[in-house]
Amino acid sequence: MQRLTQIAIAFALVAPVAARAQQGKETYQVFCAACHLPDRFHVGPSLIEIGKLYGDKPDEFVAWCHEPKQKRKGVIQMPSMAHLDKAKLTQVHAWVTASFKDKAEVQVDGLDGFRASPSMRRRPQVQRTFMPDAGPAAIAVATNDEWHYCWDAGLCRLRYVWKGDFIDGWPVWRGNGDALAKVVGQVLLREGRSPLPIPADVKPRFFGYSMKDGLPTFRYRIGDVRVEERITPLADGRGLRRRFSLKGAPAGWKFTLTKSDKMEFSSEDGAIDGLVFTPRAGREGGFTIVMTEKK
Amino acid sequence: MRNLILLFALAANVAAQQDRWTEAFDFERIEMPAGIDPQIGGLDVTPSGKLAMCMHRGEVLIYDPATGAWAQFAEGLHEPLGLLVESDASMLVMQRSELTRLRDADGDGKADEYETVFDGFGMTGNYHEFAFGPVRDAAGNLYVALNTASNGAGIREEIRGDWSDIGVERERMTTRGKEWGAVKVAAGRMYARVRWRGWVLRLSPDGETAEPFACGFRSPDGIGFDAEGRLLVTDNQGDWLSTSKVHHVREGLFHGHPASLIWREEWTQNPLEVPVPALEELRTPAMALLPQGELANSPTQPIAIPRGVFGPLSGQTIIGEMNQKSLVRLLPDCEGEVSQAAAVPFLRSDALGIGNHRLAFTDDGSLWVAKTHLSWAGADGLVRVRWKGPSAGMFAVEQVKLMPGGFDLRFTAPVDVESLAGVTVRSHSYRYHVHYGSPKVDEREERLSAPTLDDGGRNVQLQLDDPLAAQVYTIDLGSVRSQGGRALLGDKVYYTVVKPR
Repeated sequence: MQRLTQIAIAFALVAPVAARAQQGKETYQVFCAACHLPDRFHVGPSLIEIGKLYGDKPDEFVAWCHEPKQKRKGVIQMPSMAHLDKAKLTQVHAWVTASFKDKAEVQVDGLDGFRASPSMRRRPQVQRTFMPDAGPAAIAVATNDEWHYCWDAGLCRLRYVWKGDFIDGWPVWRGNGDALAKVVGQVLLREGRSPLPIPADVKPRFFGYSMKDGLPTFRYRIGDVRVEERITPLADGRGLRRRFSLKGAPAGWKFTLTKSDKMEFSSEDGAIDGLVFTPRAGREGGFTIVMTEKK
Repeated sequence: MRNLILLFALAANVAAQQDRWTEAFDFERIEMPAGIDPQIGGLDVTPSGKLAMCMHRGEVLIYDPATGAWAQFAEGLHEPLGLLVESDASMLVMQRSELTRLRDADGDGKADEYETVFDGFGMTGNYHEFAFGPVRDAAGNLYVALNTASNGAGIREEIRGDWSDIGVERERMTTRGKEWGAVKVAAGRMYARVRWRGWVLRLSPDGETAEPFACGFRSPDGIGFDAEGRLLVTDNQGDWLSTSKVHHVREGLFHGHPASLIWREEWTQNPLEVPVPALEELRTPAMALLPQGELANSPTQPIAIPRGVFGPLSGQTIIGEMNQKSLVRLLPDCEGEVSQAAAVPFLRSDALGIGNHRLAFTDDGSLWVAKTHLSWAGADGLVRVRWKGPSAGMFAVEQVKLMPGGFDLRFTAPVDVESLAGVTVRSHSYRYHVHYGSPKVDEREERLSAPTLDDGGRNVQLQLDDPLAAQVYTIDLGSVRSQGGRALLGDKVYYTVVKPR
């Protein structure tokens, strides 16, 4: 009985402190936990880091929560917690400081845990993601281990060709997409416009793609002209072949290739004069341009 | 001594939180295939009873619950966040850039056609421009929902689609790094400078024509029909959203987040310069406000419980939730044009966990909960939930009706009259403003008359002493027991009053 009384008295003494910390914890769980994890950086800094930064500065902590600023590069700015009064935020501060100040953050491996997994290393591979130097509806394609290209579904045209180890998508995949994937390798060709003579007032319309042998055949329409475009690797590893199939193209269409220091073009389906390709008779509806790396 | 107290407190805590949900439901975590990022963006069931799901890095996987086998149907999609099965060989997937039909034309179990069904909406490249849906109505029309952009970042130089000149000029919107800080406030916390951001669109069954259907959304991750055919869309606490919401979406309505108004026909004003009372006049209030931190922080997909599933809850709507170890059960109380509802926690259990993003039911009555996080609070993988059946009980609030001066609550089993003595009701409202979230305002304890019962104890009338003037009434039923002594599955009811009766 005496023991129980002791417990009750001790409980009564500890309770207010515990209750305050408990309230701070509850406020944290409701308003902060989505972005601040206890032991590692998440959307914002960890409670351990916050405990170290603001350990003996409750007023600065409250001021920051009421009027947050942008401090770290590449990290989104925290929304103001102005709807939480000073008393509530001071409770959060007390709980964070008491519970986390002297702990150590967990070291998180910042690398892509799936980088080497078969689903990310398959070749060929098609991967839609945010790509540099392209519109937001980009498609990255690895045709084999070495030759890759970026095709823009918004503009219905090839953007660039590169040689190397495809993409590092981790900057996009690690979070919510506030980044671009990285091109791994050397860009050998960039096209500033479609080789097709698209009139200025005509907006191409994208219809998607068919997959054959792991590679896409893009379908789109320019006005009344229906186009299929398929880019495949050359068997000898020297580059890519690009096949166009056209339905409804007016007679006399010519195609303008883009000058490149690093790649050259050839075709058995017509003549290339400078950068202008003219299909020979009978090949107006379908022709192939071979793109090889210059020696 | 101190340890003893802690132990004492811990024991009391455990006893109080004994998990009613695991007593009534089985929770089973499904092992995901190796080598694939297990964040799930969309989930549906094929006619042959398999689960089709789209993943964070763009794969579409098929899981056969009968054999536990996994197969890959498609690859390479851009952050797909919704999936609708058409047949075992065809499905619609909403990715960032377009609505795509994936079709296995040659019958080898892999999609060979990736058909663009609809890409007639803008993209600035801003990370928050997610795309959600599709869902299909009884007439076959499709509905998709488009997220606004966040001023956590600007836009990219190359965008897709028309740009609206209403607001900060385009070039300044491409500012990056430190300089963005000077632009972001004027940009608006969430913005919609390309077409149909913050809108729900209706597409014809073939996807050929698209019509703007309703606007005023911020981050409408959840879109679905209830058993009565109401189109429900959830939206996330943030600027202009005092707390997370469930909207009953109807054609032509404005649901409260103003950024999307710039795409209304003949709209010319910067929404940030419209006086709040004018916006208040325009908006249709949410069907349900889900109090932040208590009931939900980030609600996701609504889904109707199929006929014959979960006993007396069959036909009701449940909603996913990212940040809480819980789902939400919605109890609509609609009359005429006025849609309002009560909401109750559902499956609130450590066994469920957080990150509850997409939901589906298979014919055996299993609820499948698919998880994601996208670097926010959440989780990954797949959880199967099965009711243990009538012997495990399903004592719950079945319906809440707003009455003049109070509420009628219907329970799934007769209530022990004495347990009603502990029922309390609190009320509060929220502010409608540009700021991120709102504190509770005008919070107070309501005075109650003694509850009355009828229908053998299944109906309880709660009469408040004062007229109903607040937005949310929190009815705490923690004390309530069935006549068999069971506690409630979901013992707090949050009723949103749009219009008193």
